[in-house]
Amino acid sequence: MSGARAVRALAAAAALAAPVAATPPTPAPPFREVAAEVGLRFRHFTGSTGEHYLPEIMGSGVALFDYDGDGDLDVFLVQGAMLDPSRPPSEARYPPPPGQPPGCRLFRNDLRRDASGRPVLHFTDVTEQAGLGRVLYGMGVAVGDYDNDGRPDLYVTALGSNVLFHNNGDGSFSDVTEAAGVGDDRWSTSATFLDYDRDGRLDLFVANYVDFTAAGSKKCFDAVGAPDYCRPAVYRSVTDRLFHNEGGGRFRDVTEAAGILNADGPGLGVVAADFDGDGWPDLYVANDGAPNQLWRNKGDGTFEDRGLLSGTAYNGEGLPEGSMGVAAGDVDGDGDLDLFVTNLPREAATLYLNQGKGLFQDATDAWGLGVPTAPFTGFGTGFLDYDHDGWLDLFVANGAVANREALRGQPYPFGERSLLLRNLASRRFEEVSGWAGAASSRLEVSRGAAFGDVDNDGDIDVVVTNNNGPVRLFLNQAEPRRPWLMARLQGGAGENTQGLGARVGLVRRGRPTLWRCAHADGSYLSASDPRVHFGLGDAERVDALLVEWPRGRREAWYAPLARTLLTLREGEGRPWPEGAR
Amino acid sequence: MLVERSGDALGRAGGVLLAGLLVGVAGLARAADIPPLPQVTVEALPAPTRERVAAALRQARDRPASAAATGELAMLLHAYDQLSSAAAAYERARALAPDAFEWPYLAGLVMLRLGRPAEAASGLRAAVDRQPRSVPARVGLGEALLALGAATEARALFAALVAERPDLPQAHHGLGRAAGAMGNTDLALESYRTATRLFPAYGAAQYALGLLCRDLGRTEEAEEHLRLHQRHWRDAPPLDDAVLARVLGLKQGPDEIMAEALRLAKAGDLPGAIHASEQALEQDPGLTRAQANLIALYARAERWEKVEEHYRAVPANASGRVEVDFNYGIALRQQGRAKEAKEAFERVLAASPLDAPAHNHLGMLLEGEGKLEEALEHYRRAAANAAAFRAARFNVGRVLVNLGRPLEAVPHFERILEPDDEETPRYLYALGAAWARAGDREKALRCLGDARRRAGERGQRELAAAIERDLATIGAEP
Repeated sequence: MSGARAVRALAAAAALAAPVAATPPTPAPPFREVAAEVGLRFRHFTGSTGEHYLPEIMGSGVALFDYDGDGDLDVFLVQGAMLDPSRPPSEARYPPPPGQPPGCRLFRNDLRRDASGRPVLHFTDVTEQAGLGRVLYGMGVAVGDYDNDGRPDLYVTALGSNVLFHNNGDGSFSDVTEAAGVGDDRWSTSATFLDYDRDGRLDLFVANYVDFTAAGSKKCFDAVGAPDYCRPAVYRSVTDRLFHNEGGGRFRDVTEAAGILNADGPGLGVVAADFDGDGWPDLYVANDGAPNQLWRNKGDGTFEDRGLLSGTAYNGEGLPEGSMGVAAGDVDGDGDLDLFVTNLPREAATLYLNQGKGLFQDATDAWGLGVPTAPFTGFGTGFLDYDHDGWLDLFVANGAVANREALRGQPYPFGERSLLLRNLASRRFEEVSGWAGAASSRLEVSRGAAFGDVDNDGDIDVVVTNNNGPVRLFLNQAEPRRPWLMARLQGGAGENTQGLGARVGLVRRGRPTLWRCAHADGSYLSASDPRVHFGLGDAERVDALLVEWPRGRREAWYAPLARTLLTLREGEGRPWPEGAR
Repeated sequence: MLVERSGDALGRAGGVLLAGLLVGVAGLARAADIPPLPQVTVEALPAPTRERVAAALRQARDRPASAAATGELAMLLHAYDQLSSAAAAYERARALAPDAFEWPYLAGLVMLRLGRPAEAASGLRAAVDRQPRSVPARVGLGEALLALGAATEARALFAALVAERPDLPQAHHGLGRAAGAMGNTDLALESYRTATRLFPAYGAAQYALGLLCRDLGRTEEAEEHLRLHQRHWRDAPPLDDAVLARVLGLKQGPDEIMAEALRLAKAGDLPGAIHASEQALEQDPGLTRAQANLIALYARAERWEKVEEHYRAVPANASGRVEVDFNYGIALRQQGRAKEAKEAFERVLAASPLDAPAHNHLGMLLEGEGKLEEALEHYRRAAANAAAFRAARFNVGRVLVNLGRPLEAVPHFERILEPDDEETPRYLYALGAAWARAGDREKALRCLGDARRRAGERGQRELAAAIERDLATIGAEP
């Protein structure tokens, strides 16, 4: 090789050897969709035959609950059916997939750990053994241990008769609706178990929608004259129901006596929580296209509707909104519960900030939630600290109820993408784009959303149902893996065994107390894991967990360890620290 | 010299060529700035709409440089609520005619409705630049600024509007909202008060004022304004907007005509409402709710032959038949055709078992036949299925009293005393009567006295006189 060529060769080699400026790796999205991969195979069936019957576009819900007491969350999925039971599913416009059995389904979580201790998730359909494969025009589900036997039971709502399934403790359930006296033939949607009179037994509130019948169905059209689903306002709304748990497996309809009959609306989302801090659980009902109700519990067995004066019946301009899904949580860290309600497109979802004592202000635009939510039709929703920074973030499952302009001409023109919104702790939210990679761009008709730690790795996962579509399981894989703490509550003396309605405060020196509630309700037609979850941000050390039990007792657990799931049993705690609120 | 002359010619030719190139490049750049026409899936539109939109699209394509043609397409899409496509077409029209007012204005309005305040503000600012005195453009811009959290700018805008147009309720309402966002409670309060004084039926302003009073601890005042809001939540002061009116006028289908019919009926213009409903039916002969509306309107006008005509025109299995049967049932009751009226309401309930008004009407017909227990059952169902149906609950109480069960009637009457409105004195009277029948003279006197007072306050002289007579009777008893 000549000298010149050698120099050129060396230069080339040097150039090749020189490091290229490193591009930072793209962080993995915080969630990964894994339903089919882990055996959670279910497709919702609407029974649509082309008549645009309103129930077809409204379902359905999902429950995350530990039915077999093995410490992990199982999944119950509500199914639709033919509205005319004399016609076979094969005549439906979108028949169910071949081989899919009809009716609701229960999937048992067979979670195990591999050799390196990592969770391995798998679900098995155990519907038949459980006796839960009821064929009905199912809408939603509520979970609660109504008989305090330590096993969570199910209340399934429907267009037609609702069903109370008692958990027998041996992997099976029994229909005890008639014996319990909680049947309701109206079109029921969301429901919640709550101990409204603080007697230790869970009562039942059922939201009802409108007086739809196929015979009385109306034909509606969109703005260009194409057939479309009707708005609920073309039908009359029907009243909700409150059932008092009398004990012995029986309930009594106390709707009128409790004052619930004093107002009605097309009820969709429901959440029970103490919004005015007086120690009694209140009820918030999201009514579709009508004023929402905030039923303030007066502590004497009756309720009064404070929706108007509380500022939560309408949006900030005094207009009723779609109001489908609802979430309650302390979004600004001031110790009280704020409300988030999902609405129709162009309305945007609404954030009602609790100013204290159950008086709220519409803070939607101020918190940056107007613009990201305005294009969508929001349904299932919940607060979750997905990134463990100590601030409650938001998830919204979206899916249209009317023909979408952009999808006109497609066979099912209702698909939308769902949203993850991160709480910036500066009194604003921002949308997390690509939150589940390609899966977060899918246009689906999402409805129910349930929240819970499905793989028991300390973070909150999300199960989403899709109308006329497959169930989705979004596993949380957010990085960095900041510390967390979870608490399972157990009510004392066989009362309200899951501690539903309890407030739990996480105390750390020099920081405000973080407050969360043990609840399974909210969202849309769905039931979530009642275990209380805290993200700890950058501080692992926790001084205490304060618990305000539903019947008023206050206890503390000191110096709990981070990254653990604690079981807090009523009566086993220590006194609250002085000055704690 | 030959070389120099050649050089001059070459130079001149080069200059012309360069100038031509520059014009060409500028033209290309300008073309690149013009947004394309929106993609509209015309074939997926139903027939009458498809033809109109296709024609407008053709015009816009055939005349690509015409802002007017694109603007016509945009307005048509806007009228048909295809807002995303309308927005895109407005942006194109705006780029083709940068000095026009209507395109950025309408684009801004569409963006406001789509919940995109930043883009709305951009369009509306441009519109205000073109027409600084446009009230609707400034009100719209103010809305967009508030949604963006630009309270200071919004306040300045609305303050200027208030100074220029102190008679404009929207300006005061907007100023109140901006002031409230800036924490200036006094100005917010004053502004909302002015807005509601100028237009008492301004639902949004009554609501804002109500919540502000609530926050200031003035609960009674808050409740009063919120009550007014409840009555007028749909109402707002009119805003003269010829540009938007042009858009809205493009779609006059059966839905729009029926909306006008309902408005006319509510305003008491019966002939106008009838005419509008007939027009809607002409456009869509299968429009069942137009038939149902005409049955109700002709019944009000006591034109029974027309009631029959429109009832017979609806097929038995038509969608919306329930409403037709219901209105027909009322018309039959009016005529004293009780048996046929019962059958009509029974048809309603067969299709819609929870229909509270149908239960209530059926109850009244049964009561007319003396079948009190059956009537009571229907009244109960009506009350159980419609929380705010005070008339049904009143009927429950009334029948219980007539059945000799006045104590059972008492809680039903007590339940309907709120809200305190025109009906309350009558319900209070009934409660007093129930107590009297139950033998509790003290409670009866108290309720009747209260009822008389309230009836007097509301100018219900006949009712007050009737109550006075009963008070005299009960008062005279030992």
